[in-house]
Amino acid sequence: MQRISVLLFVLFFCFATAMQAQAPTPKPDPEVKKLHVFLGHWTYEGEYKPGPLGPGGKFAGEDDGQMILGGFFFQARWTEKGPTGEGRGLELDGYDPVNKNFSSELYFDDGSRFSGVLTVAGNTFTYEGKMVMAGKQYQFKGTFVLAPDLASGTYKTEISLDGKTWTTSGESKWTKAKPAPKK
Amino acid sequence: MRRITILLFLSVFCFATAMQAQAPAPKPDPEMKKLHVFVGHWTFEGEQKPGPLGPGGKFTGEDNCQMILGGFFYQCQLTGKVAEQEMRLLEIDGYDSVNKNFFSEFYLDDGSRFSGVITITGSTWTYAGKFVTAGKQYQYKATLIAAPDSASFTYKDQLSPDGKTWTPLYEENWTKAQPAPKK
Repeated sequence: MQRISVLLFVLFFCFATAMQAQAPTPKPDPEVKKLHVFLGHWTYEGEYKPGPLGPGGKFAGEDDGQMILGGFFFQARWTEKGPTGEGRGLELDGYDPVNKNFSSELYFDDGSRFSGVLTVAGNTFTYEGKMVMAGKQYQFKGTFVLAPDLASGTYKTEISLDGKTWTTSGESKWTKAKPAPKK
Repeated sequence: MRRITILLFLSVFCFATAMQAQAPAPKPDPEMKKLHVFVGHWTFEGEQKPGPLGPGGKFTGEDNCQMILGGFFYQCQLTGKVAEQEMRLLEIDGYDSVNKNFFSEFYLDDGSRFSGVITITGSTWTYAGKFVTAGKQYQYKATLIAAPDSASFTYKDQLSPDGKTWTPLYEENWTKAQPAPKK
């Protein structure tokens, strides 16, 4: 009887240890795959409209997107040339399983910051939240419409002081760089 | 008379152009200097308490912190081990000139995310905000107490499902790596 008890204990111990060793590592929510369309190298050009954010003018830039931290978050870094010179920025997006939306943070090298949510409906990606820029806070809305080929799109940004009156702050066209042909 | 008008116009045009060219580039708020004490390479050791994040265990690692995007933001990249399980974390902090506080964002490689604010009182830093992990949202608070020489600090954090009952999460001792001696 004692032998059976010892055997049972050993079996239970081995089973428990194996279960612990096999504890599945967390995996990104399948929703995160919706951001994968932005992976890779993109170029863009467009125009800032004159308004509270500046005098307006043409701009062009490039943007590199990648998944980071085990694929849970999307990171993009951009550089652009515009009416006020060169600019750089960092974007970090991730899926929020509690609120069932994407969080999005944009950090600009003039100290501006966008903090909000990103909603995805078909090929339309909408950023909504607050933008702090030059010591003022605005409501911000950005609408990226991806073309059916998933390799180009248009992006329109709008700002508002009161959430009622919206002013277009920029419009741009984006193109994904084609991967190099296989040798 | 016409010559004077043209001369005046040219003077105004040149002055305006010069003023535009000399428009000062935006500079980080002086408050950002408070984050400079943490720039550099840090090591830490401590303990994860048993709780919502797991069974707990020894917690060790290192953190590399730097100012990014023209010094407007502060970024740290942490790698650590909790009970032999590797983890990585990305932190972005910055000064919110509208709300007159620091914001802080953590992104972890298991999909967890903290979003909140930092308040600084002397050598005590307090983080408060929301923490989403494993599909649940918690309230999070942490207290960092820096040593007078700013070369070490202690860090304790807690989670709460309701803002009333708080569970300890981690306790760590951090040490700044000494810079290599000059040759």
